Amino acid sequence: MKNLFLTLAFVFATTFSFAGINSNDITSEEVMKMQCFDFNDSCGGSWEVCHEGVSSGQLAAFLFEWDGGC
Amino acid sequence: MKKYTLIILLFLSTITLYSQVDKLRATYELTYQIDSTDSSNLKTERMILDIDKSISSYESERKYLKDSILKSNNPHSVYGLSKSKFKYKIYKDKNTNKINTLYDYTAYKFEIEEIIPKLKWSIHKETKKILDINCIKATTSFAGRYYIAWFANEIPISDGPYKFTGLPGLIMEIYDTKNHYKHIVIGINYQKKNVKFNNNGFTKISQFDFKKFLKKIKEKPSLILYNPGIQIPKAGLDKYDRNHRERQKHENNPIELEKK
Repeated sequence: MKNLFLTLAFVFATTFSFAGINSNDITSEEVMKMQCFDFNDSCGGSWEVCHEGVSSGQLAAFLFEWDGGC
Repeated sequence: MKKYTLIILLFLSTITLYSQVDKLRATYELTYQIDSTDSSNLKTERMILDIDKSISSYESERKYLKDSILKSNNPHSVYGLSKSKFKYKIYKDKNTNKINTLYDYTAYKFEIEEIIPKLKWSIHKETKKILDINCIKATTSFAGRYYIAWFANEIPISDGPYKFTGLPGLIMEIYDTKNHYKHIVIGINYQKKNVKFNNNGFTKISQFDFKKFLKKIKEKPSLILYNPGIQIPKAGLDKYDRNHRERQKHENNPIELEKK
């Protein structure tokens, strides 16, 4: 009985301690983090490119078309 | 038992051979004059025509490679490729009698559907060999240009590069009388892969609205780079606009001079 009470208490405590945090916020914060890098175009230029929430395919398609305006 | 196995194997190999004949890839070298006033400015690109039983697809080899790499596990290896001047893929479907052209302008992907044009071909007596295959001369007109074609009776597939079709054999060579657009076949391979029409992510648009879109990107070429998830310095977009506007001044000679 004592063990059951302790288990229930632990379950409630864990549930309420996370109740104030929106799990979506954690996910979006991690995924939507802006990432920047230097992109070297085909005519010798270097540009800072930042991106968030785009796939590598979309980013590669964009950079291929743009190519620093070369 | 051995006898039955042999019969089954023979049957299967016959089926395989038959299906291979239906599918082939013709590779063309396209030589085109982008500026109608400058005959010294000729460019070339390889174009691919994949033919299945009732459907075919036509696009530039550079675009084909670009799209394949972008779908792969290493899309960033695309940077070594040369850009294609032809941002479209043309599907001809004999069952539906329609042509669906998919235009890929990075941020904007459009599809235009039209009826396969009924070209009035005149077949002539002249013959010549291309890739050691006998070809017969034919002539027609399409979208403001007069064309001379050479087709192969030996390959009884009524198809050809771009929107050209309607001859009793594969078009091996076709050029307009001004020599502004010339396709010549440089290789034919049998294929096992089916041609599948895939218009996922493309928005259907009318010819009229597409013309309006082309006018907009002529004024501001960097519109096609719109992506709220990617930030680059403004100077980079300005440079793109400047260089593309300059290039467009010399690009006044599309393959289709008249549109319905």
